[in-house]
Amino acid sequence: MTETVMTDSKHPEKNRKTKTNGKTKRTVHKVIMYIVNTLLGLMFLFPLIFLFVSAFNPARDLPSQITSFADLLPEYFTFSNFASVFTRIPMLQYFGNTLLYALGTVIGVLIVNSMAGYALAKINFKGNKLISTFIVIMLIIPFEGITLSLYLVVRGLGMLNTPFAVILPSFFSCFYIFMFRQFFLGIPTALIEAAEIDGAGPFKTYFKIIVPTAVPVFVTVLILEFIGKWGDYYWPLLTLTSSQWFNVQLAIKSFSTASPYHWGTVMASLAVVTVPVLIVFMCLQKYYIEGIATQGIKDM
Amino acid sequence: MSKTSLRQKRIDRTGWLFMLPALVFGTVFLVVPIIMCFGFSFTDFYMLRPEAMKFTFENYANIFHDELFGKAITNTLLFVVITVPVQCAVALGLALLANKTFKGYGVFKLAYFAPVITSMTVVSLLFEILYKEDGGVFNLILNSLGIASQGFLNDPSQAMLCIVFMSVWQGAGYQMIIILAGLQGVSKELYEAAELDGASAWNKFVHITLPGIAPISSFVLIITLVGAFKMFTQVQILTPDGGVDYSTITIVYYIFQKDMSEKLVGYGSAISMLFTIVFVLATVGKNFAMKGVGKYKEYREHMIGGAY
Amino acid sequence: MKKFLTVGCCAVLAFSCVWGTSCGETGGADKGEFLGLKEGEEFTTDSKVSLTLTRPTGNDAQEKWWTDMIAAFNQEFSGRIEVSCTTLTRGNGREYEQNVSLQASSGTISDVLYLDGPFIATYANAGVIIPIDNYIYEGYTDDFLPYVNEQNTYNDRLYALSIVDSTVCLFYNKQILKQKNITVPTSIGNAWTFDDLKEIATSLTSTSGRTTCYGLQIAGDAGEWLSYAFTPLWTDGVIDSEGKLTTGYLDGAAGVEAGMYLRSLVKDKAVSASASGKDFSATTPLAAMALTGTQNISEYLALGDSMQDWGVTFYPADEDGKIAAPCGGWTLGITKNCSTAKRVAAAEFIKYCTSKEACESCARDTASPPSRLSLYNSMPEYSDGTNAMNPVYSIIKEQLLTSAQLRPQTVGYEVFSTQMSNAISNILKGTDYDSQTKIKDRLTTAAQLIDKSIAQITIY
Repeated sequence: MTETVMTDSKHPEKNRKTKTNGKTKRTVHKVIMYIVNTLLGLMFLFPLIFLFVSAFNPARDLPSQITSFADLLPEYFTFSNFASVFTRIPMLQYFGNTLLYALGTVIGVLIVNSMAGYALAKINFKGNKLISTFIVIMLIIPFEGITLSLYLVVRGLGMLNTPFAVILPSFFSCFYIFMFRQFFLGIPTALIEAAEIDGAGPFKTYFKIIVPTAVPVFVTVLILEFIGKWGDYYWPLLTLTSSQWFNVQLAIKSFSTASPYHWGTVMASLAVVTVPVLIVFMCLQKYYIEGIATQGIKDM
Repeated sequence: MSKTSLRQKRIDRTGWLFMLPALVFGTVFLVVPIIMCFGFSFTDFYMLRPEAMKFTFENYANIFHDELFGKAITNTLLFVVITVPVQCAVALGLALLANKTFKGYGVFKLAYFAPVITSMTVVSLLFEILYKEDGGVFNLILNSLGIASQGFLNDPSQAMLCIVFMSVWQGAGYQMIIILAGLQGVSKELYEAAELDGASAWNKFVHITLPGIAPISSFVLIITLVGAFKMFTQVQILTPDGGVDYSTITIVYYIFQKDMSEKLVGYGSAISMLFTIVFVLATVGKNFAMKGVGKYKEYREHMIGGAY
Repeated sequence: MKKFLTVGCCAVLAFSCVWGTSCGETGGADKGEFLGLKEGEEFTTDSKVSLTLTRPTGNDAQEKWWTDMIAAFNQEFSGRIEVSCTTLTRGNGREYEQNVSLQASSGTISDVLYLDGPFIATYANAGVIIPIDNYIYEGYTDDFLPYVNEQNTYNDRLYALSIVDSTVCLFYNKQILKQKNITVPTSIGNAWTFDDLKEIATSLTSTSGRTTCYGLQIAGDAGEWLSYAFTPLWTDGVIDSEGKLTTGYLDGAAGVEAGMYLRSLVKDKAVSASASGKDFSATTPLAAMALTGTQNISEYLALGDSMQDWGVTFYPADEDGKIAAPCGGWTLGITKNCSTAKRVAAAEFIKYCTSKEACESCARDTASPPSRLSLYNSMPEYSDGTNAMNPVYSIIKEQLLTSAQLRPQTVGYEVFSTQMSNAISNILKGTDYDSQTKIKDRLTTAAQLIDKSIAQITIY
């Protein structure tokens, strides 16, 4: 499916007729793809558009009976909602906190889980099978089932009301270990053996040879974990009780609960906290282009 | 001591060294809480008075007389059965659509991923507006097409389907991004070679793309399955307390309600443990089945001389 | 092997965290000797006492009142007592209780706790809060509304003191009612009955274009609201006197009738099943009247001119003309975590927050009915006919002084209120709730769930 227009020019030996025919076909195909993507894209983009349009809405509530799509649109656009978001609460401080939690977690998650995933995929140590099975089984443990136990552990370690309470428990993730393992399975063992013959130790091999070939998976985990931490609400609510440690999700809750309720401001606050995630994704999505790794992936 | 065992020892050491950070954090923040939870499941632990905890087997006995638990299981299975295939298919479709280097495709990737980025608060506000029975957007559209208003979340027979729709729409981008990362690993040369041979798009998909992302596909399938079994947030936000006639109560929501709202931690833990044990058995069973299938394949390949 | 040892050690360690810390004494039936300060006695101490307070985050007015109150207290008791305060997110209303429960479970709960009145039975029974009557001198509670004291008492022991209270009233849009020539009752003797309310609300519902303005709004927050607002409809009560059994009450004859009534509100188009709690106060109102709590008054006042002119009348009466208005509010209690040495100081803080001056300023600033009887005679809002707020507040006053009915006292209040609200919400919204059997079945299901859950609390 990953064909490009470039392919044709690489094969000048093809006869001219086929080439033009192919080109028209390609162009039609391309246009259809653009149309399909645009239509589907709009369907999926709808909440974000709705969010950002509503953030400029001067109305203090949305009618509870929608009679036409015009009801969802603002009468005119205003910036005052954003002004109240930044003046009513120390928003920048909360951004700082959340950034600390998100980056702290992401760094830990990438190191801890990628190493474990690599060991499970490529190092045939005693106990490998057992741990691999264990990781898959632990995927099913619902966070909601162990909330109290985890709270007691965090409290026992004296981490309540410190950033560690939200950062450290996220480091280990069966989900990411499993994901890294599946990706590393696709890396040819020859690559590792070659490095070892060159005299590189296992850690040097891992960081110098393996990590650079697995950029897409690192980027994926980074994005997923960053988004997860950025949107985290319930666990910080339980463990960060002092407002100086609040993350953005906790902080903006006051807009939807404290009176007077203002629809536009609530949406503006939600829009403001969405922007950093958008930026992170937009900056990193360029890694989702073909051709970073050229090896085929070995079967599981 | 032979040379191989020395080498194996070194490999063992390296392996465990790579595992070490994960083991430390996993033990403290996952294994210990699970062991505690397992312990609690044999007590009558009431959250407000932990010191009065007493040993009991009653929790496990009670589960089997719990009608709401039965309802939660049926609902969860229904959700899993519908959501997993649909969501995986949608995610794969989106990934294939967006996996191009053409200009502007970054925007499409963002679009498909947008529901994942958007906070659940916005999504739930939006779906409330969409699903509302009286004055909602979906009914507005249906009415203008001459179709009578539907109950959606208020109708016990439609409520779970509404949750499925929202889940797939909101979650497919998540799996898409993982598949996209997987697609990066599929060799470009293979496509070029296939093109030279005049292979059709479908053939390329079946013979190059699908085998190329096989490990990722099984990964995506498993995490979608597990995620569907653990579904919680969607029902908590759209239909608090289980919805009309408890038609949307799920196992994890039920555990949460027992633990955090009713404070019956002992009972909630017992349900969590039962849930986990069933999954463990299913995984082990699946592994055995897979081994059987593998043996059969080997045997068949052996018989037909490994031709393929 | 090593791994299992580590795991085992960690588990033991974690278990000991649970047991090691949460051994507070729980109040027995005996009141014991008086340990507090007598009236007018000054608090003295050798070393400064530090107290912690936990309360939910409120609106701007509430936040300001608490900040000022704590600052004033710390100033007045400087060098002797210092109070520091943690505010927890209220969220959808349950997150506060969940957070507090976790803290109670792990022994990290603060010394003084601000809790919602109906939870006193739950917390007192579990020993999370301790009786305070041997720290509060005889006669201190005399000025408080009798039912407020009743709410704060469990097993004949006083556990908490209230600052302000709340009740449910019928709010109405003056403009819409005037257009329809409907006058609202001004004395409690001729308050509307529930049937009057349905009839009037039905007649007020009007459709223009695609939008329908309903006669009545009964929606509120998820969770407790519906059970709080409609418990009086269950004229035979909702739970037995011990607070343990709802079967036969919730789904009794009166209960089914209540369910039928609520369903008929939707069927007769008096209320909209899909309504939000903001229809009444919307810029273009979508409800002519609203049955809602007095806690919304501050919101309505803050909206000012952007909301149409509104007034208040009494909560509806039953067929015999008797009103049982829902009431009850937040209260201050001392937790088991507060060491014996600090309890006198904690009681001083609670007394400071519930003093006549404090209650008055809180009632005024947060637009809530005060918990002290004497304030209803001295505050101009409640006693002076020329005061701008008097027409509204004198109705609330009359209702609270004559017809207040507490929510049921049960150790399973959270499961009770959640399941009852859920049943009511299903009856209002569900697509196939038009038969009496279906309504009865739903109430029976709820009652069984509640009874089962309460029976599982085996700590008595």
